[in-house]
Amino acid sequence: MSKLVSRLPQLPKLPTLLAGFLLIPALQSTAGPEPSSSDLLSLRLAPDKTTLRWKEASQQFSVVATFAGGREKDVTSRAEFSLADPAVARLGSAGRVVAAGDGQTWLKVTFASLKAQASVVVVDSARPPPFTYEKEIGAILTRRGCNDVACHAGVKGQGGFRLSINAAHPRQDYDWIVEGGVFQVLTDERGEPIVPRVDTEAPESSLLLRKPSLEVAHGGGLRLEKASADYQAIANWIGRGAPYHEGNGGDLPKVEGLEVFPREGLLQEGGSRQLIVTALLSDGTREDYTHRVRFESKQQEVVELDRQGLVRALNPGESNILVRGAGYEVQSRIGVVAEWIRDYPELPRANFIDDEVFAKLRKFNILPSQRSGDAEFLRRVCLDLTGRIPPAGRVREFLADPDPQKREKLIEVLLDSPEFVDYWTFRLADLFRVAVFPVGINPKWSQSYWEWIRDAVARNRPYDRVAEERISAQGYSPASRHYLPYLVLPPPENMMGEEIRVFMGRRLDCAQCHDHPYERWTQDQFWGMAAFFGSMFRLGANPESVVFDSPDGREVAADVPSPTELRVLHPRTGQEVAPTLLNGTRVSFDGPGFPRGEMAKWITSHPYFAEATVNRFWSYFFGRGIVDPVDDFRSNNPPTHPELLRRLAEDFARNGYDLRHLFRRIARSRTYQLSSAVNRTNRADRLNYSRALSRPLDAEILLDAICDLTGVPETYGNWLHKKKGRGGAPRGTRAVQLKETDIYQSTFLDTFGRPNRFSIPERDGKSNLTRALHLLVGSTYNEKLWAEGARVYELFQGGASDAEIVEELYLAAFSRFPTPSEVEELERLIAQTPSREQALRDLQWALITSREFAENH
Amino acid sequence: MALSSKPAGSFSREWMVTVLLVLLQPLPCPAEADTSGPPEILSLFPLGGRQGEAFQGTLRGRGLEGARQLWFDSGGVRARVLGLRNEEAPKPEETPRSDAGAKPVQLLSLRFQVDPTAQPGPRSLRVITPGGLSHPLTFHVHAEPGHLESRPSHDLASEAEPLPEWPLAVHGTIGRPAEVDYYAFSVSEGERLRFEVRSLALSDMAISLYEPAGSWFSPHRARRLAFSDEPVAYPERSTEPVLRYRFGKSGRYLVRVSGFLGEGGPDHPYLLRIARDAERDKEEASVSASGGSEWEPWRERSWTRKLGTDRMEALRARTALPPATPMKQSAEEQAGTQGPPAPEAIPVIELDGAPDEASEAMEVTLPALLAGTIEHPGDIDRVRFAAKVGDRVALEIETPRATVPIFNPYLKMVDAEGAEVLTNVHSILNANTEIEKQIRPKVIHSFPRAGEFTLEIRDITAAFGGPSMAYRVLIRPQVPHMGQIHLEEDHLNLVAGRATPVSLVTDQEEHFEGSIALSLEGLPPGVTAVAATRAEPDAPPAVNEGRKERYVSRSRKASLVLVAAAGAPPTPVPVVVKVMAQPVVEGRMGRMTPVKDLLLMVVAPAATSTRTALNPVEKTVAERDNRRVSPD
Repeated sequence: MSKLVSRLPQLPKLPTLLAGFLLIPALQSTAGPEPSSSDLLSLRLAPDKTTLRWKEASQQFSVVATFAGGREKDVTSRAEFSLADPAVARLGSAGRVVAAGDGQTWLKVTFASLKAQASVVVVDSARPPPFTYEKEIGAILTRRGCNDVACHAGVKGQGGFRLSINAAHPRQDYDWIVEGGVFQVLTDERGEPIVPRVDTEAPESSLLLRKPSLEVAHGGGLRLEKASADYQAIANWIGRGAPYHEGNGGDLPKVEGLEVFPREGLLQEGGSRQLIVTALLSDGTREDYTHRVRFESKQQEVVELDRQGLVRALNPGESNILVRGAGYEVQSRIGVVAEWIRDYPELPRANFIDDEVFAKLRKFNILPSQRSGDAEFLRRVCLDLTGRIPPAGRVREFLADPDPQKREKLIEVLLDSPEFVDYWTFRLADLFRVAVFPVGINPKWSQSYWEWIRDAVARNRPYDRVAEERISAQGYSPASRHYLPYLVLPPPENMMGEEIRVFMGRRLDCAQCHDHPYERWTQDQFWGMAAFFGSMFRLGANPESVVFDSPDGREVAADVPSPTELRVLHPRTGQEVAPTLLNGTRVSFDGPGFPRGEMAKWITSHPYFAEATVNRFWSYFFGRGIVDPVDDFRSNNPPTHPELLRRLAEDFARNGYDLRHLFRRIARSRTYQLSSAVNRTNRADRLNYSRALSRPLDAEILLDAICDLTGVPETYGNWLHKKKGRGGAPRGTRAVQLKETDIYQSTFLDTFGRPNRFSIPERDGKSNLTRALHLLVGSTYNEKLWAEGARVYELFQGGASDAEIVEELYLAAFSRFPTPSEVEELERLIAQTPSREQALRDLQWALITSREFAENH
Repeated sequence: MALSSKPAGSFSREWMVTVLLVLLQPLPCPAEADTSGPPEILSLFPLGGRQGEAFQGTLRGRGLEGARQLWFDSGGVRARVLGLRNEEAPKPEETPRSDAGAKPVQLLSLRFQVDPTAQPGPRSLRVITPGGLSHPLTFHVHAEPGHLESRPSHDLASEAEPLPEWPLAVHGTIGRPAEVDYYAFSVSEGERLRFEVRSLALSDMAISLYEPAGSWFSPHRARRLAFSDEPVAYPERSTEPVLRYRFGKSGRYLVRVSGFLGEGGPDHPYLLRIARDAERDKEEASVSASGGSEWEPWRERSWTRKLGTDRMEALRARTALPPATPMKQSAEEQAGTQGPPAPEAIPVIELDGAPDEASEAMEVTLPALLAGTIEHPGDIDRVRFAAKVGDRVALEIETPRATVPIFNPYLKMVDAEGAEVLTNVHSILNANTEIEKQIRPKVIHSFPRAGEFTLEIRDITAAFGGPSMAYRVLIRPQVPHMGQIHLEEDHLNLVAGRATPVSLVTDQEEHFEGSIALSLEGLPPGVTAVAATRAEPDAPPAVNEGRKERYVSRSRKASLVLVAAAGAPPTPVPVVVKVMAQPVVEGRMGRMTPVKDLLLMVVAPAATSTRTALNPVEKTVAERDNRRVSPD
């Protein structure tokens, strides 16, 4: 490699990034140290009231101070507490109040000059709490992680011992512990041997204690120290005969939910905050459950927690904290900032997207980056709406255009362009898995399926109609072809799982074998939904196969004994499952239409559909979904911006599920148009859209971009006709225009992550060795640099100067003019290279291998 | 047993025989195999021509030495052979694997003359050489002015070849893999044009229509307005695309012709016709009204056969009973069921507009011809009728407009209690132990119990409906009759002194128990036909063929051997030999019925005797369609 090439990667990659840094100081100057007490506006106690029942019952309180600018801070550890009537309650460790005698009193707190108070009612203070397995032993198992999905609450349990997730089914757990047996998947029957895990005669010999204390080998390691109170509590319980409950424990109200305070909070680096967890009981009362739950930080480099729920901020960023107990799970989202911004500026907004995004940024003390420059915006919006880098001439034109509305006008032009149709057909073809093999191994079918998608995009058909047509596809319709991969109907559960994942963003698959470990999806719900696909048949042989649903849910012409049962049977009970929606509604075969059609209507009218759709398409513009991964909505993978997601979904539905409307809404937002340049407050942020995130171009987009830049198109042969010496994509076909991915050979596309569409594509933009080698020696990166008709070749032949060529290439590759220093440096390097042709080849190579080119930023 | 044969032109001395198990007679030994053989034609350019015009063309093929004339199946076109030359051989690396070892490709130059009065439409064209007759290619006569593709490369919108004014018939070729051809034309606002492409059997072309409006990214980018690639991959349906489009504004537009998956090569010529839609409709109606051949081959189990009120008469003609004589029936049928059909026409019952409610099903008496439409998704038409014990009925379904697999008529007969009696869906368990279901256009049934029954007619999906989903369902008494007779051969080249076996399959419908006599009429001098046996490979049996007797006919295989005597004079042109069939029941002979016109040539011993069931081109198409092909 020449000297020129070896030096080019060191060129300033993104002058705009640098410019962004230079523009930020005005905002950075508003950042400052922790607010002083003079900024303190108010003080409050959480919770503001509590009832303590039973002897030694306690409640953790949190003291929250609010400062000027809306910032909140947990000052529990620095506040002064007192109780109005010490005979009713006494103070424990910081912020904890313990029952002392029946009655009512006030907890008072003072911080700086402000005061706050909370009501404390104590009842039954003389009576020890009745014992229940659920509340005591189940809570210990939860806190210690024994019933985590990675341990004994996994699908198959561990070592034949299975517990319900977070003690969701305490009675079932209790029976397995006390009565024994080996857990087996897909059956309620206990496998041999029947060995209880408790020994009431010699409690300390119980497996329930010996395993977690490592007295005998335990794959989960040390979970229960012998000296701990929890170990002692379990030992005592076993010694008492291991009852399920004692006294009137059976009459205690049930836990019906958990709440965590705060649900969202902000800490400064090094700060801490106490979480308070409250159980909502079936009798309407509330109880402090902070000490009965398990806490887990999803971003442990951002925050860490102790078992009591004290959060410590480690590094700037954001983390969800999962709180699990009593079969429930709630979350708190904690942000950590390096420093506070005293005078947070008012930010210009274009639409409700900005309202939601900026509100959270303000709450999390993050300043968004500046609005992107025209060049940055132009390249990004062209790539996001059409998958293309703008031509050099259009860049010049746009940058020179003084029209203040030019961005909005450009968005409209792009939305109406044939390239938009190409690109979004490609995106949907990816999602809908258009390829020869997954579509009946019949290119005639895969092409008609592709044409159906293209037609929907070109005509801007409402997306709910598209979804409904695909889900309920019958007959010989193009969309019905996707139900015949490899010429056979897949099992009903597979078909259902894919449609739900694509259109509702949920993965129900876990519930196929067992109740979903993280969700409320049960095995019954899973099979109830699968049953909608259970009456499907294939009629006729290839190539005229037709898909249809039995009119009455029974096999049509059941003239021969079927080796496979048509009806959908529950794998555990063996009973036939009726088509039942997730909400429990059964759909009969008696009504108009057919059950799968009814299900399609239900799906597309359900809020999940709009949410999942806007989330998925949002991710194409921002590099991540508001829920991410985009098809993994679940309670412990919550949206980063729930209100934004809701409003986007509502807006999408209200506007007729119009994708162009959604794209327009997104592209016009200031959030989308923010620069990718970081500032000091958003450097660590990758979740809150405070800046544009650089995203690697997908394989097809990158290859098309290389072809555009070099001016040398790619040719694609297909192997279906190879043996007959014919076949291929027409000259000028772009990678995004290939109808099927699995028959057109391209080493480049395969190397850079083109999915084969055998399953729902998940693209991986990460670098790897093969890609690196391809950059160095691959034909795409080396053979397009100099050929007749190639861009540089023509400029060279036309007598263009080095500066003109550099400018043209920069405009075509980066959608910006080179800086004077870049021009100067490159001119010097070209001049130093013995062969001008070689220098220009190297220059192109350097450009197309640069991150600025290969990423959308 | 030798079969008698009749010299051409002497139809009074017919031969016939019931095809029974017959031992093959010793046959003359084949002559030395030679290297010439019959001609094989690969393609033709142009694919046709305009009425009243003369033009040159080229036929691409192999074994064309001595080609002396072309043969057309109908009049109005003549062709004269101008010369023959070998095509330049491709480089070995460019030779498709399938062509390795094949004879060299030859180009036959021809001069065509289309009569001014020639009826527009397709014709079969064959070439005659000393080796015999080739398989056919289609030659199209058109009324529009012709235009020959002139640019060697115009596969980008910016390179579109300009066309003169339409109506127009453009003759072009997708000459290499991945090639597409763009043409530019002008049109006025409001015009509704029809674009259609005709190509050879090997090709599967598509048409796209573009507006060359440019885009923000490229001034050369064309915006696609419409696309047509016949989406139905169904064996009996054409893959020729037709695109109708109404232009909303005046201007210049582009039409693109492309091959499926980028197919291309010298054997991919096409004819692109551009005309006002209404005018093409008129022309098609005129061609249709002018009639086809003198007789239509019998199609027993086709979705598009015509079910008329005279159906019973047509069936009787395929029995061995006098037309007016009641059919012989089983004892229980004689005991009191409805008798055989009277010669009068079957009543037509219109079901469109009939109530949808099951309780209001229209009552009919049999036989009846039900005509209706699945008017909306989920629409079910119903009739009620009475049947007696032992009544044997046949239900036949016709789909005159949309047909399978677009419209899949589903018939279900239920008894008074709603229990399913029969459907037209045939289930089998195949060798992979998978259930296969096929919808059938004909079902037969014998009622084990008397009662009132309801017949439901619907699309098998609940998703489609509309005027195109019309049906005719005939419910009639069964008529045991001779069904369809299948003969794969399209033509035969017989070498003097050699024998050529021909296989036939005869279908026996509705418990037909008689024999079927087969005969050949018009054999040329020196050619005789004898009955023969032939070893057939065992077909892999289905695990369970379900209630096959309801849904498919019983078949018998027969074999004939055509023997050309050593001294049989060669035929200069093909002789049309009529394959005839005649039902024979209990010694009574039924009507002689034509099965197929077979083109036959006798060639000198230098040529190889051939069966010409499927040529390589047809075979490729058949493979693509997944049809079974007979081994060569």
